[in-house]
Amino acid sequence: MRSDTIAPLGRDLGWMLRVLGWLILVSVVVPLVWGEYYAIPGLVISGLVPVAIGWGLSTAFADADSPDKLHGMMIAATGWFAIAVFGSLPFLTVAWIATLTPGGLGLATPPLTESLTVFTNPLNAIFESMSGFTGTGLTMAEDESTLPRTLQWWRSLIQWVGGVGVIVLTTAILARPGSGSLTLYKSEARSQKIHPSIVSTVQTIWWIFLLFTSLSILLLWLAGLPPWQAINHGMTAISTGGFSVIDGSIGAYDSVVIEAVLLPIMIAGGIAFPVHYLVLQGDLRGLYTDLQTRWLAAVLVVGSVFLWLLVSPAYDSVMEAFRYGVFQFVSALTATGFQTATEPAPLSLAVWPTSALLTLVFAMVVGAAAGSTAGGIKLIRLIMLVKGIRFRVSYVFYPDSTVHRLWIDDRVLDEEEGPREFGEAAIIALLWFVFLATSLFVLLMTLPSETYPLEMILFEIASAQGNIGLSAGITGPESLPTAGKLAFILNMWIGRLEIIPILVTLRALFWRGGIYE
Amino acid sequence: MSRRHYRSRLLTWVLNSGPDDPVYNLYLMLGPLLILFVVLVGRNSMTSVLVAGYIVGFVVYTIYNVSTTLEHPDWVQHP
Repeated sequence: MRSDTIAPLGRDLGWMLRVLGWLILVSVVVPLVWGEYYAIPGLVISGLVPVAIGWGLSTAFADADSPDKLHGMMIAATGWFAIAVFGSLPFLTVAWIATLTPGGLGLATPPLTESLTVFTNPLNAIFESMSGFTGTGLTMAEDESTLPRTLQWWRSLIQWVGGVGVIVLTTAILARPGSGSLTLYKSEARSQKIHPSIVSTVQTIWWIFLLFTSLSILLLWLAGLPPWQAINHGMTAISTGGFSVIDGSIGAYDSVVIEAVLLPIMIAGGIAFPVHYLVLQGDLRGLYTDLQTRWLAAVLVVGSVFLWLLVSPAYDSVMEAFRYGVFQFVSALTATGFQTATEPAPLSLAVWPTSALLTLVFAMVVGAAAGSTAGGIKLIRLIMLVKGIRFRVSYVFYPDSTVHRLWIDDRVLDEEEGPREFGEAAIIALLWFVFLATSLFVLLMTLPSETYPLEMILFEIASAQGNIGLSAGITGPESLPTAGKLAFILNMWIGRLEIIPILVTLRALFWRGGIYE
Repeated sequence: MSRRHYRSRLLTWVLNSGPDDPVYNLYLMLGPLLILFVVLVGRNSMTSVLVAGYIVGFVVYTIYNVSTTLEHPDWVQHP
């Protein structure tokens, strides 16, 4: 690979690893507070490794040029993968310390539950880390409540940071002016700006995110959650992550109040940050004139009612169907992944009608607004595809001399912009389905035959790739084969970065890296 | 870096990064303190009223803010 590519890649990767390392080291406060002293050596080692590697890289390539578009995409793709790999170290080290020194070192270790020992397998640890950082929420832990508080915190923290973005965090901390920061920002599947300066934009995003996180935590506490659960669920709800610290996700509370409180938090997470900023500025027009927010409201209402009708026959009462149908649709569309249709609820997702599961698959593929913390192909692309197809069809009915304009909200796209933006949306959507189909093939080949119906497998893959986290029961340390775990790690990675940066990176590695030459 | 300088940097960030509204700035700074308070003190009528007041106050102020703001920041790029 050429040195002009390696230098900016090495420098920015180094800074991302340094930030990750410090996040791990700061988390040492948690085992200190909870008396889980055995976890401290694991966290310190896990933090020092990325800090040292990151320091070496960022120092060696300190004079690198600003990243261009290719570098930006490569930094995003390799950075997110490296973050997931190094972010798995706390799971791995804490699990191994507990396994190798039960009651040893004079530090009381936790009971060796299955949920903890699964993380002695590096693949499970990387899966959990990738699921966390990408805001997916699928987990290898059978019972999250038995995990040490240290690991519960680490799971919540990585979802919280990942919701806004690792690069956004690094950019906010470095506050490096210039076009390089903008290039990196765009590579992390973001494009909206709040201010002309990208550094100001990311700092405002964090400002809003911190305020909303506090509000979410306090709302959940007021709804009846204990402080620790309110803090963790508040962080994973506003970041639309979906990790829980109890077994059975939100359904385990069996509380209408908690579910009602979570609905606006999840929806807030699915709205773009610039819209939040406008509302905080006193401009309510930002909420109801924004195209994506209008579509989000419409899809939420129509989809929730549709799902309610589909699941109604399966439940004893219409109100019960309404409660579970609405919550699951909002959770799926906003990419949160909190689950209420699970034990002790009357019906789990696995026994929902096929039509209901496929409705959720649609929500998980589409996702919420671009510029929010949500996953999926994003509403703006769905809007572009719908309007673009309507434009192409209506084109035939007019004379050749007619001047055609494609309208997207208040933007008028000319004959060059229209096809380009429609093409970009179509490419992302097509690639989305290609990777869904590829993983479907892998799971059909590796899962025990006739164990899971096709719609459940499709549901699980859409959940992984859309960074949602709802599960029909396939994901687990034993139930998901190794090939399936690898496929899901890939799905979560490409889903978070919206595919293109990863394909660009692979092409650059194959061609410029000399593999084909 | 002195501790005082660090504090001023944090305060500067809070004041400069938000929507330029002292009430929201106060809300941002009070939020983590209130969480710490309920963690230390626990659930009782006083903490419940404080938290409820924080949330209701935010909602009421936001409604008041949008109903009284006449100028709109046109330089903000709509998504």
